[in-house]
Amino acid sequence: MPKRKREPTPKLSQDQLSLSLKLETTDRNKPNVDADDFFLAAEKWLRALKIFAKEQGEHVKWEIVDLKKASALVEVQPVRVETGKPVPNLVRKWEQGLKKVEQTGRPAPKLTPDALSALRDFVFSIPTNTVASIGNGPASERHKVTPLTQRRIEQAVAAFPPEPKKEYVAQGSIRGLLAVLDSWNPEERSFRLKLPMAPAKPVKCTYRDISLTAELGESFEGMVEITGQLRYKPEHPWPYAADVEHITTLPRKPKVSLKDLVGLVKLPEGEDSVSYVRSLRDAE
Amino acid sequence: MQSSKPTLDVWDSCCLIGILNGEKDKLAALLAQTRFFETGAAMLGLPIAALDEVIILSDGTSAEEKVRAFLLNPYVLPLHPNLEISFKSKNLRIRFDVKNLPELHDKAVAAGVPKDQAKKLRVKDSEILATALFYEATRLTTFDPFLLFLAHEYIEKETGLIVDRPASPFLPFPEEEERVT
Repeated sequence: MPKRKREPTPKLSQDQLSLSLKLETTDRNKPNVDADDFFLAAEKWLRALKIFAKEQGEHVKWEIVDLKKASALVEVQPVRVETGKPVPNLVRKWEQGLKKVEQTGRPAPKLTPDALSALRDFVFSIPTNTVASIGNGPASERHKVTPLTQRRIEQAVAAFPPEPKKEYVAQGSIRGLLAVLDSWNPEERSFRLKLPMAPAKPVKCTYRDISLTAELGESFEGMVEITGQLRYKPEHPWPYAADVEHITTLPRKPKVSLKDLVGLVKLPEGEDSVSYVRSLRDAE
Repeated sequence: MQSSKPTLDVWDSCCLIGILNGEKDKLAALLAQTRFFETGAAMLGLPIAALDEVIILSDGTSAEEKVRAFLLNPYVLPLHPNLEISFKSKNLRIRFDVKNLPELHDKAVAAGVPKDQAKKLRVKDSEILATALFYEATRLTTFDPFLLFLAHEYIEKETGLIVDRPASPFLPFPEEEERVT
């Protein structure tokens, strides 16, 4: 049997390894691209590429292959951080994803919501007096980012269903008025906490520590601070239920008012509360 | 306590520190809010991020015990951070950064914000703003020029949250309201 000749592996050209962005002005009298416009667009473009690579599970850095002033062109290629080798597959996936979105206005399988959202940020960051072209490699034809491109990307972003938010639990404390008490059922001892900011939706508070029962009796119809696991519904700022670990009874009659705090602290000479707070926050 | 929902007035730390430091230009307006708190017309929301700064300042001084006792008032609501607030805070910081909003600096300076404070929203400031937004506060009381600028320029129109100094009466005193109606 004659030996089959192995087909030679096609050599990857630069076009298959890299991606490029080119900016041109629409003003013939001022052919030079504004540096701010270029770097802003390039930053957003690079951010979109980075997010895309991350979402594809590729640990790469983007190296500049070429940077030309005359046409304000930047060309980058993804290089695997561990090996230093180019990742042409990532370039291909990016191009395929972009093409599909531009043609259909539908999300492409490779472009996740985050990657698509970064792409949208890029295409909408291009100044109105500038034409941006994107493509792969220096030689192959780049295509312009047009209002149609922007619209299609916007459509694709909108096509993703919003991720449903779930209930969540957080350790914390909350203050409220101790209302209905139900400590008779040993299986589920509970009470209701009426929150000042959500009086119509009392929080169902359950507790296991029976020593809290005495505390509750004393605090009945007074303000308390409960600490424990607070359960929240999505988009609701106040909890709907709590597993209580600790209760602090607040004084029924305030002992110290705002007036009693006047002049208790002296800030350094020349500083007032605003400059003092600013100095703390700016130092962080 | 009233059965209807009170107003939530969130205070930045400069308000409590202004009182502690006895700052004459702020005292009258800040102390005037007491009647709203003590009658149950309003709750005083204190983001933990702001509370930290007050507690650190009074720690180890003669003010410590009184500050602690004041915080036990039934009208004081410590507002705890959570994941939603962290994300909201991060988004505010990304948005209000001159790198992403180039006109921010010039507009802020034109509005009277010192140049070195007009470049971006800082971590603590964004946490406090995000807390007020998350807990659906009626107002955020502050004297910070950059927060006041951001609110007047962007936040108030978009969210309805009033960010202002305490001088402007934000709600009529209950008796006055009854007289009007």
